[in-house]
Amino acid sequence: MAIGILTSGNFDVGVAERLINLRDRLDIETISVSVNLGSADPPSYAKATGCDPGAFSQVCSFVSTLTENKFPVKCFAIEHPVCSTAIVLLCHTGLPNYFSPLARRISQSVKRKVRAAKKLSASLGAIEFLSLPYYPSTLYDVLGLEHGDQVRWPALFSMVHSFTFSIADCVHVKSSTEEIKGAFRTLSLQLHPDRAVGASDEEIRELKTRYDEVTAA
Amino acid sequence: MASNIPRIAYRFNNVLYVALTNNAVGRSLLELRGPGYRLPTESRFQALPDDVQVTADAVDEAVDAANSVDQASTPFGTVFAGHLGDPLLELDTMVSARPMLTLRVCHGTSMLCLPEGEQH
Repeated sequence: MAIGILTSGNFDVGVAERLINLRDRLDIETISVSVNLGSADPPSYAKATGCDPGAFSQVCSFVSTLTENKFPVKCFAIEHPVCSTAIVLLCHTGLPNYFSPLARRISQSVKRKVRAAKKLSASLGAIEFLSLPYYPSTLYDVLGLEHGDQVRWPALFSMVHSFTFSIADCVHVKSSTEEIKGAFRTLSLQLHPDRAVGASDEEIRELKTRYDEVTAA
Repeated sequence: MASNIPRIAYRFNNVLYVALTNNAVGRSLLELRGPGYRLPTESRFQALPDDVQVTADAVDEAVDAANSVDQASTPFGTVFAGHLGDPLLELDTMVSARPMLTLRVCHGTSMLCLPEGEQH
């Protein structure tokens, strides 16, 4: 029976040493640690994980301490596009094909960062590297509809490239056009700012943002 | 009380995941995977209540419960999971819970390893 530990790896060397001692004392052969390497340099690591850039060296030390002691470590990184929200919003606006090169550039940058993380993982002595897909929010979420197949980042890019990104692209699996229209009508009635009689400015602003999202979807 | 702690253990892809805490260093893995990421519904994943301190006994109980729900398949392995919190923040609990997991999950294994190094 294998035992795994899924961690950020953002711990000092002392924790790695405790794990090594534990393995040696218990004579566990099948224990491994999976560490989120995030990226291959401190600034990207900070963006990808929300940690301080200084934590990057701590993660690397944590991994190398384990691997130097023959502790099996698997590293992974998430294909995290830094400006996914912006891209999705640009898609929603239905502006001309203007943003396709931008989307392509971001996609290439994500791939480059993951490749660099894979290289770093190998140099730290990890036995395996996994690249995990990033899941941006979908228009299902906006309309409160049941998800079909989750839209992965590469799929989103292909939609961006074909300039046909709309809820209609995603819904054929689970929702009919009538369901989409129904969800839109219900939500737009609920969220219309004119209905917010007596609400505070902040509440009206929130409603308006949500209403705009629903209208865009 | 251990029995009040909901679903410390959850499983999908034939792996049993054990959550020890909701606290993470930086953003949690669930957050990092993106707003559209969902763990499968059949995994019965649930965040731990904020004020709960998971004990080794609670882990043991939760693993038993998870295995009794799905007795058809034996999991390939047990993962101390960091979908929401980082298990290494609760290293002491993990160390104490592991031998129990080994005993229970292996269904009939004759050996129990204790953290102190004793073997039964």
